[in-house]
Amino acid sequence: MQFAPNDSFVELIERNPYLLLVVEHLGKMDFQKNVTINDFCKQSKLPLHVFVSLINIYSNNNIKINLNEWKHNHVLILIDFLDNSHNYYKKEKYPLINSLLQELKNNIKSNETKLLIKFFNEYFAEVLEHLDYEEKIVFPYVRQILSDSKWKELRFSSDEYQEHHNNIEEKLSDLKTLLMHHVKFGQYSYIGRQIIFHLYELEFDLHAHSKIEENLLIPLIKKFEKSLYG
Amino acid sequence: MAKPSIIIIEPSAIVNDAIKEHLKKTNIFNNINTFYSWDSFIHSARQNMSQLLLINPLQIVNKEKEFEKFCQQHPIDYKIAIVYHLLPNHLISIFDDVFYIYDSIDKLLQKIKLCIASKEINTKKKQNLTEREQEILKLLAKGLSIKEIAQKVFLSPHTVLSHRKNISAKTGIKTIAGLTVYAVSMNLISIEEIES
Repeated sequence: MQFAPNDSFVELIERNPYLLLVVEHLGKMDFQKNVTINDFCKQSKLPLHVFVSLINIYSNNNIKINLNEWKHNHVLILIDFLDNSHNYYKKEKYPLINSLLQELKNNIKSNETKLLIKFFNEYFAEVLEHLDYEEKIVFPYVRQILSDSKWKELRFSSDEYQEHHNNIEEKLSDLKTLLMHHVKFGQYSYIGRQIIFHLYELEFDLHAHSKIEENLLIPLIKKFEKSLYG
Repeated sequence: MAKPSIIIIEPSAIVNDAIKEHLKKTNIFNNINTFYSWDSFIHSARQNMSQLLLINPLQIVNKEKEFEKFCQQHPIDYKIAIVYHLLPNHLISIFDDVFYIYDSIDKLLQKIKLCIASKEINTKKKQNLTEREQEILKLLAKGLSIKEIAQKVFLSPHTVLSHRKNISAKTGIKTIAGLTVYAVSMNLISIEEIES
């Protein structure tokens, strides 16, 4: 699905409610409802191509992105976007899933649930480590490059970055497989279902997050690095 | 087993239509979707797309990684290449089978039927782990490395690794931590054994 600047903003959200996450991560929840995409962007002081790139990624559309349109301040919007989505994982999704798992443990006293919680916590510890790496290394590095000053020591490697993503996605997929195929919830299947739904939502946003980094952020970093270091 | 669906991705409209018409007549498929390019397919692809992919490999040149990742993330069980001329091995090896454009349509049908049959076998295989696989799973859950397991069960590390791959294929679980939870839920190992 292509998006046109004159499409209605509300219809856009109705077609894919997950796009509300894009609006939220952009920090633009306070918007007028009856407007076009173009108006929304103007209201929110958001370049149209930035918004359209993001909603394409969240809609699973593989549209080629023209990196030449991306200026320094647009990348800063992207960094803030990614930074905000960290809050969604850490402050919203993790506590929700964790409390549902605890509820499961209180009701089903099996070793299996105990291990499942351990597995989830180990998985999320890895997610946190990755988010921490982004907050402490990647984002400051990008901000530095954008301010046109060289980083003293090159501590960032896009290959390493990519590897993190693969590990995280594999563990999450295992967690879903275990819950869907192997764990028996009995009368507490409604708790299992809620956990599975939250995991899907988490996976959806994390996947979009990786795609933004792989298809936008990393190529943009490389582009600016090239102009800085030659 | 429910009738499978097939996706044809081939830029030549004539070839594309001809394959589609022939496949339609066979009544093997629930759904036949055709595309002229990989990009247009990706563009319209939704999560629960079909099981068989018939594609001209030139469509994915320089996008091999993206293609493989896509196939892993979507329920695409078989990938058959539509080949016009010689192509480099690394490209062909991504696919499960190859259909040469000068082959007869019967040959293509044969290949497709084989794919469907092996898919059914795979599904049946998934249900049970062999005793050897269970033994290796237990040792993996206890935290032993492939090398340590190989020494313990008197097999080569290569064989242990291939058992490990089969276990993952059957259970759908790839990480050791995930397999450990599985082993406990199947009562193959007790939690005390892992914690020790």
